[in-house]
Amino acid sequence: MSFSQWKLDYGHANKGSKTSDPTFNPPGFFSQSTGFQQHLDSERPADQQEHLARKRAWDVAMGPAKSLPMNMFMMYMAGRSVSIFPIMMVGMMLWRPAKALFSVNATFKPLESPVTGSMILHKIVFLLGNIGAIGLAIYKVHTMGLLPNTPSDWLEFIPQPNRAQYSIVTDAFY
Amino acid sequence: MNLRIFVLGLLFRFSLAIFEDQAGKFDWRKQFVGCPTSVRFDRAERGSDRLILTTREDLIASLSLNTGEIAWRKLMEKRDEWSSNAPIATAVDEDNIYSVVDSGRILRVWRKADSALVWQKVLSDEPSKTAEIALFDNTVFAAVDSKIGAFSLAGDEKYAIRLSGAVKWTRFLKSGGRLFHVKLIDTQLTARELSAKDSDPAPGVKSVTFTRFNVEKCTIAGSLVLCAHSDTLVSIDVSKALLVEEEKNTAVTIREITGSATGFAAIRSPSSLKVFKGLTESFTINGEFTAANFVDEKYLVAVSSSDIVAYELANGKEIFQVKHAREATKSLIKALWAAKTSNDWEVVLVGHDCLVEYVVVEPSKNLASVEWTSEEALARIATVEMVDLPLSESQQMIEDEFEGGKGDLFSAFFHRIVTQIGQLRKWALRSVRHIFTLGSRLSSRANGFSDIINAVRSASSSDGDNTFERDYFNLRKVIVVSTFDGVVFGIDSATGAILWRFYLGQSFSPLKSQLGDFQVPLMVQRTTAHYQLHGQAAVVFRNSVNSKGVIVMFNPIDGKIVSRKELDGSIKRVSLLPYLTNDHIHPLLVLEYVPELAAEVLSKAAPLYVLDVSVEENIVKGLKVNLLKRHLSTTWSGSIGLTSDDKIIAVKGKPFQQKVHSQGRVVIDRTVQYKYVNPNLAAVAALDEKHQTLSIVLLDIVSGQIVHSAIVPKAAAPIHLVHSEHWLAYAYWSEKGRRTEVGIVELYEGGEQQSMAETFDSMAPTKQAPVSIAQSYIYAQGIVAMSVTETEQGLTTRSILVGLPDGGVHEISRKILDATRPLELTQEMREEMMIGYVPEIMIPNEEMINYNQSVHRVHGIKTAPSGLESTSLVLAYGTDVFFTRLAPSGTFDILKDDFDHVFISIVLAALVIGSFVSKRLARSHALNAQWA
Repeated sequence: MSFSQWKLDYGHANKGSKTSDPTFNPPGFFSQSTGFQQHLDSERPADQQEHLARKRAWDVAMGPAKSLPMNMFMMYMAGRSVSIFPIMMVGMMLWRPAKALFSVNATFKPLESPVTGSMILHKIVFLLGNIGAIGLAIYKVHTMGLLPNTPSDWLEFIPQPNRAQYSIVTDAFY
Repeated sequence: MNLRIFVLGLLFRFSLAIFEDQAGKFDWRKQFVGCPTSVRFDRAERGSDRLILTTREDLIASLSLNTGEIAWRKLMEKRDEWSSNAPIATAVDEDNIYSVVDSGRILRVWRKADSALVWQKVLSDEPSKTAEIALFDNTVFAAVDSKIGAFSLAGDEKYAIRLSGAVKWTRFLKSGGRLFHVKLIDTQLTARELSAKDSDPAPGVKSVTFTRFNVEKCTIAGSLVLCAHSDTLVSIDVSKALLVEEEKNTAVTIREITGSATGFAAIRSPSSLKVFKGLTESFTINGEFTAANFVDEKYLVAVSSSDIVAYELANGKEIFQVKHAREATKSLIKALWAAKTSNDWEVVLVGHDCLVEYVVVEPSKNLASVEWTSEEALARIATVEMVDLPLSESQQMIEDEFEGGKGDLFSAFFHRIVTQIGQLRKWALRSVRHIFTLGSRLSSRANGFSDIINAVRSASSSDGDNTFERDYFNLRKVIVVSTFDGVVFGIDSATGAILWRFYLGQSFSPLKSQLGDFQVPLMVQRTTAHYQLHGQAAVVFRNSVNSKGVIVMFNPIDGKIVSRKELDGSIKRVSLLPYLTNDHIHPLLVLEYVPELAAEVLSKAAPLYVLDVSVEENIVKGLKVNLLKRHLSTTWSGSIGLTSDDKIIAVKGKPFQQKVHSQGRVVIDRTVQYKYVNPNLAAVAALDEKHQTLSIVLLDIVSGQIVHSAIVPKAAAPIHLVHSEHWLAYAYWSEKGRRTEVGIVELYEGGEQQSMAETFDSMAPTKQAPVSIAQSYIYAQGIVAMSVTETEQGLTTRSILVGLPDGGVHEISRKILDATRPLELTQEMREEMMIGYVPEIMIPNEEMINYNQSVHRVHGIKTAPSGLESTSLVLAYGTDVFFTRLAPSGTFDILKDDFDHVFISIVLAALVIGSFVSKRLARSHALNAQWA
């Protein structure tokens, strides 16, 4: 569908309508002279529409990256404590970009048109933005101490060493 | 703020205390009185008849004559000598018991009926080797080494006579309305007449040189002091004006001599019992008697290995001879006490194994019936081991199923099908049996719904009780116990019932260790994990006749003796070898006898080292055991920094199978401090009484390297050590603070990395020396025993168990007794719920694992893992025995006892039903809405 194909037509007045009778018309209203037709697609230049489409595509592509500072602020406000709300916030922060990563093509599908082309650059920017958001969320998880990235997290998996020697301590008897 | 956090931590721990309805559910306590040294029959005019005992455990007790239950028991101060066999000196009148206790320091008077203390007087400040007491003419006479005191019955001192000299033997002697005090100093026998007047009239003191005196074989009979000297009877009449030694040859080897107040004496020889009146023989009874005693000064009762006999003294006539056979697992009788009632005789028999039997003899029916018995050897437990029960039949079949996995695919499949059919058959049979028993019970007593419910419940639980097999969580075990009296017991940990017992023989004597304590080592050589083979345990002791070592091997589940081996010499050390032979047995290493091992065992065996501590010379040696050539070689030796004033008082190693689950400690910045878990580490504690210092040395047995050493100033005995994992806890008396303190040393690896992650090799060099962190705490109670909990995987935080002098057993979590408790708590530490350092260890009553079930004179606390990681089994033993289950970190792997299964099930069922109903309702509602 194209949003530029619309028409406002006051010319074809119904016979029974009030506008056909000039006595009911407000002063200064001339039904004949209001005949007005707009034909945008034919009148405006084609490059304006192209410009709009591109702008919109870039808006979508830059969306995740633009929300990064806000997310940072939110994460900062969430605090370091491990409780239900910060966890939910971090979870959403992790989940939304991850979901977006898997639906890149679907996101750009409605924007596809001959004028925007393959949109590969847009997609890359979109991807980078989302990866940035995920990175931010992972960093947050790290600062909360939930990532098993220190030796202490793997401590319980270290097996007990074998023995190279055996030793005996007993009491000596007379 | 610190205190608030600490209190919060304590509140958290309160939840570990047991609930009121859990009391007695999985714990039990047995109270004992010990081996009786004197027994008196007490006929009460009101209430039940009693026995009044004094025992070797230094206590006075009153037992109900009918049941043998303890009516009351009074624990006295322990005497200085450990193996003092002399009874507490007691005298009894109508209402009271008069006793000289606390090594002759105090005279105490108790009311017989309710054990109330009537009065007490201090006799002396110094301990005394001998003590005697007599009642004469409404006066209490008490004699100790340094004094004879005369007191009125109300407790007023009438007079005191000072004495001096090292007394070997002392007695009071009543004859012809006169009271004499007889004592022996060196070879000088002195007799002094005492009067009941308000002051000492200083009557004549007579004395005579008495060279043929033998403390063990002397008695008083009437006015005579009678002593046996091989086959000769020597007497001195004290009532005569001049003390003259008279003698008579009895022509028999005298084993024991018993005197009566009327002047009779019974002389026991290996083949006969001779009764003398003074020095004239009145009659002889032939037979191998083991004990004899007089009854009411008129009769003589004696016991042999098969009979109980009684004779009248006046004419030597036999009153009865009844059979009293003893099983092979019991020892011979060493003492007896008897009383005559109107138509029967009551006899209390005490064996060498401290088995107390109460026998009622009916001479008219020629019948002896044992009314009750009591195993008083359990008051002196030496070593405890807990052995798993054998696998149940179904568990064995599961083991069977996976056993034959070596064959080809088809045979393995066939094997599996066969075993599973077997399991199915077993299950079907059991179910059918259940239904039948249930049916029979229902038909026999079904008067209402509750009866049916009860029958179902008991039918489902009954089969667990009569079969003797491992339970699901391996919580029920056989507690195998060796005692200082030479009896080995098997005790069911569920109820405390004695499953089996055997006596190690008349020649039993405990091993005396270098550190001065006695031991009867008991070791489990093969557990019941190998279901095709029976378990095997070994008990080691010394033959008292020839001092040679004896090893008795037995099955710990049923107490059947497998073998008994007498070694060629005495035992210097004994231990289990850490290797398994082909029949899954840990061989015993008895030095200097190194066992012969099969070549294939030797080929896999890691080198073995033994720590040798010489207490006299303060020299510590490391010995390497060469199992192939079967000899020992010294690898290192040294004084480990001990001076000549230091006296080594404790050496503690680690059990060779100890599991340490976590290899490190997480520091607050999430890095790891790796534990220095050296399995070859031994802790040596030495006390310097002159300078009042306690030296603690941790050294590697293999290399001789001193890993840590510390000196605690102003420390004194008692010292208790617990050495486990990577830490050592030690309790001592601080002379400076005049309080008990508990120190803890934890060892960590010096570097950031775990230096020996795969194999711990004591010989391998480490880049950095281990780091030790030490801390000490105030403990506001004395400590009599210390131990640590043990769990299956070593994952649960351990607790240190402390036996207190008042009979409590206190559980201190390692979280509290921790060397790394920070002095300053930061916000992050608080978030991690760390507990800041507070010098005191609180002793809340909620942390007493034995709540109000006091265990007195705790000698040791044995812990053993159960099948549940959270749960450790604990046996505290002393005069009393207490067993319980302990969950040091809470029962995290099992639902709580009070978990409401019914409520949860009802809620769940209601939810499921509700969802179905509402689904239906919603559907019909939607349909209606569409029609409308």
